[in-house]
Amino acid sequence: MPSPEGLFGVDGDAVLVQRVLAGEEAAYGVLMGRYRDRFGRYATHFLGDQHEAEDALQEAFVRGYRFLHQCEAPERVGAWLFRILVNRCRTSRVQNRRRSQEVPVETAAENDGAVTQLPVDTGWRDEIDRALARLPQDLREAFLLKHVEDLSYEEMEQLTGAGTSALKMRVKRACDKLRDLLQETHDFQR
Amino acid sequence: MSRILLFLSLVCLPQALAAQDPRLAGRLDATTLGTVSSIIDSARADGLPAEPLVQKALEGASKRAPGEAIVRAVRTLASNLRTVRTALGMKSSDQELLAGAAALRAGATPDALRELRRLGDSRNLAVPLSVLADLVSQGIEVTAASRSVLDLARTDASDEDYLRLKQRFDGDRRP
Amino acid sequence: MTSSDEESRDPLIERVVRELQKPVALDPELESRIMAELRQPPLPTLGRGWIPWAALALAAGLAGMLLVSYDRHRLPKVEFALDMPNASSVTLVGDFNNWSPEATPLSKGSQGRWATRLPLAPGRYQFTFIVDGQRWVPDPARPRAPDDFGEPTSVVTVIGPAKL
Repeated sequence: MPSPEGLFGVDGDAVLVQRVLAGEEAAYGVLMGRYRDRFGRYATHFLGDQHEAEDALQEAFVRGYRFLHQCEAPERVGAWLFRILVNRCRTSRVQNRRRSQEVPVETAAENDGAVTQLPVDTGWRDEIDRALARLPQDLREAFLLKHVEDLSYEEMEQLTGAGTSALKMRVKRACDKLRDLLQETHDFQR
Repeated sequence: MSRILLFLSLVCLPQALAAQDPRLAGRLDATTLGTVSSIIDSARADGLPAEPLVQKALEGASKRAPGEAIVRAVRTLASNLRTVRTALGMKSSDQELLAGAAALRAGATPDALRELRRLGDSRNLAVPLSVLADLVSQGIEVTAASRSVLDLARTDASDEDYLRLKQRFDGDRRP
Repeated sequence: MTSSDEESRDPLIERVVRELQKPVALDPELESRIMAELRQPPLPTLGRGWIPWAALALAAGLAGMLLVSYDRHRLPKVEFALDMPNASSVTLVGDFNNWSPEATPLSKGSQGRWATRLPLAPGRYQFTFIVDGQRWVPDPARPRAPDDFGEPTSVVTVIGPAKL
């Protein structure tokens, strides 16, 4: 597992940031290429929907580009961008919840009959996705950051604004809940 | 004479260039660009929204339409926007003007728009007008479509009601 | 530091983590879409009040045709989709992207369904799909608009939390 520094502080990032700020747009493409897969994975797991995740990723990268001059530590631009993404993912969840209660967007009417049904998949991966989706947002976030993204609690504090003890509690509760949910349908002890 | 023309061109050219939308510059030939920019300028001077006209020109350019066709379409849209504003009133929003122009383009009459304004009073008519445009575009007879929309307007209907009206017609048309 | 320093994970959680750490497939066009958006001027954000038309004219990226005061990130996402299994590319052109064929490529999903979702302000938008860079195809799920240029055009009307 690479270290957090390796995740969010790739060699040469600061130079890329300088080049972007000097007007070299393509350098931002290089930066995105360094982080897209990892960020995309987080967003997909957090949001539970690939389209939503790609939207969040797009918005985060665009926002990062627009405000790159405010990045105070260019050598840690990856961490800075990730913070934007984490916030976008949270906002996206809230918006989706609000929107789903509102009904009214014309597109819902316009799209009638065009809604894609996901294929039924009872595999292990699908079980995990369903269990993750049932976790409260703060537990899911803490679990993904800690175990999947392998961040330290210090980094999680900076990202989420929550204290270490609260984060540890969330991670523990997330693990307990996941265990319960997954063992409801399968016996994974063997 | 030639000096006068040269002088005029030097005086007028920068203004003409300044008035051109930069999005149009690379996508229209010089003649079309000049005429379209002039139509857009006049619309803007009259307080009409310029953006729909820019988009109409870009649509034509994207579809590789001849310059004359682009000019004709932009001019027709500008004219329809003026007609709609006369029918709906000077306080009409840009959204209402655009939706009204679409309704006119589809075949609705200015009288129907006037009646809609009378019934809707100060209500935003963008959605009713857009639904009217869609109904007529889909082949619903103009009088029937107008009557249905006006009937709803008499009931102080919501935007969702208008959308349901459209869906009802869609359902009727499905085999 | 790794999480195992601080948490003892049981085998079940280990399996979950291993699964979740696998790469996730993302739309290969995502970066090009982002780069295209970066080239557009930023849109106004909520809290600045109504946007003067002149400012909209400067916002060359998205058509300001029907824009009201909004935060782009709060706009409803409108899905555009086309079933075209044999196509090698599908792009979307319309009043929202200056009818630019390069601006909005669709991504191919399962069973030949091409799709994208765009944040759109409430309004009426005309649009068309371009298949394989040359064929103009209307959206079969949406109303057709009268066409001025001999190519099929569709129309979508968006209403959102902020009504038109």
